[in-house]
Amino acid sequence: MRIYIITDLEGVGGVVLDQQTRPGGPLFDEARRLQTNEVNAAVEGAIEGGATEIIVHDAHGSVGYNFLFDKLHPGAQYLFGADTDTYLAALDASFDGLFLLGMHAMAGTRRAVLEHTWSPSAWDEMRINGRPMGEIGLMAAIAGEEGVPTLLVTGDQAVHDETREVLGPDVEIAVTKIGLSRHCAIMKPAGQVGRLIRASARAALSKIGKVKPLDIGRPAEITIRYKHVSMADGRKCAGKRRLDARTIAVTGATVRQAFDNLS
Amino acid sequence: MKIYMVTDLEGVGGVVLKEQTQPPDPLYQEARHLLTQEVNAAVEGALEGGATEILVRDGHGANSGYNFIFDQLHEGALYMMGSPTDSYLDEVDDSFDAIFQIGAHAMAGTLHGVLEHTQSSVAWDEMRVNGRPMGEMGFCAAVAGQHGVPCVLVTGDQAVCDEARDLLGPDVEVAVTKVGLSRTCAITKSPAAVRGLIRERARAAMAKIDKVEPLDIGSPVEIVLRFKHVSNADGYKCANKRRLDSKTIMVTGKTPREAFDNLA
Repeated sequence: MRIYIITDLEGVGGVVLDQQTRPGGPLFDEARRLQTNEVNAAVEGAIEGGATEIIVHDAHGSVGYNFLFDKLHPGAQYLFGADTDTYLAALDASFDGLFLLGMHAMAGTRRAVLEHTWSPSAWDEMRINGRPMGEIGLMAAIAGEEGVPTLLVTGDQAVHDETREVLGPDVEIAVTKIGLSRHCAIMKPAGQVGRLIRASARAALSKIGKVKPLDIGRPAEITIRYKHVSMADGRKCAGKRRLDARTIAVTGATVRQAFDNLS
Repeated sequence: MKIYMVTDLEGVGGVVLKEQTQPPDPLYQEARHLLTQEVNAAVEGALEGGATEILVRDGHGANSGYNFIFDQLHEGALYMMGSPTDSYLDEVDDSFDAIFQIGAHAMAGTLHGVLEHTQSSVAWDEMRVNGRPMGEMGFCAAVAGQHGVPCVLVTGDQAVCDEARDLLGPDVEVAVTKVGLSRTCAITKSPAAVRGLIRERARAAMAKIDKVEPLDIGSPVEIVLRFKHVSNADGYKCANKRRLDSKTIMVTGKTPREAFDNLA
């Protein structure tokens, strides 16, 4: 069983502030430690559930280097860094399932810790084939195009609700915290979160064959509504259509291609 | 038994300087560690005393309300960190059996109160609630009191513990972490002694739940806030504000929380 794990930072237990998600202060290094422990819990659970090969993709931030390397579980391989030729380049049809760890809800969600889609300052709403989607939906759709089902999502309560909405009742979800505002949450202690993620990861392996890959249809159209007109004014990308002052649309044969066209 | 704990930083053992209470000074990072260990001692004591559910609010406002070191926290509680929320202490409701206040400090103007202040150390000179001088410790107790929840434990320096006894009566448990000699000087107990004391008093406080009355300050609630400077009052805009004199405003609400929300 081959599992691809994509990680973000905002949904990790203990993370609620912007400063925890950006380099430059002691809280960021603490958050990297919290994230690394959650990654290890997921890897351990996946192995217990029967995974034989695991790649964990450090996908937070423009640089993609967040894990504390020498604290990582020896049972997986790790993908660090950014700027691959295509989005999620290593995620292909050879995998049996996808995990999304440390996720956050889509831009505009209330009571969602660090909610955003891609750029907190610029992106107001993303739609894929007409449907509002965040990063969870985007990644699940790209995996889906490869025939890979999303088996596990971890993050706050809002992530839970969004995942159920987009991916249905069968996907495993581990809730790390309950958001009270964008920067405030009630959180389980770290040890409990780790054990929950491990158990959920183990359970997720047993969902292979039961959870369907997300299919959003082809071709794919992604529309982005920006927060400011000036952001849409300056946007140059392949196949771009300007829908209104703040909104553009791009299309591709697949979601991955449409997203690549966007960048 | 369901317990709500609200924490502050100024009353923690070992904390006497302003640098310890906010970033970016390295002393702040040390103080976070001291705070986290006192929280753990209080959680441990509460569990020993029969608490079955504990929610700990990281209540110190600096650093956006994120002060605990998350992965060093006791496993036996839930933790609320970050800010803001829609309302002041809005997670406190009548489902709790009691509240604890950990690391509290004395109200603005208290002699020998370590890092004494009320809300804003630069702007607020005195707060009165329905005529009575009150600080943050008292006001938290009043918000809990509006839900019928007693405050059974206060930890902090000698001054805030005296303030607690004065306001909440002789049955409230206190743990004195240090004795202030000035605003920024104290004789402080050792970390181990402080944590042992907090744990013991937290356990003892669980037995006081039926002995300590919830603080009832009546309704409606009038908060009179005297600022330090005329300009603080000049620029202040909030719901239902009345200007009483050059440095003083008044806001009202049906409950302590509503009055305080109006102030914000």
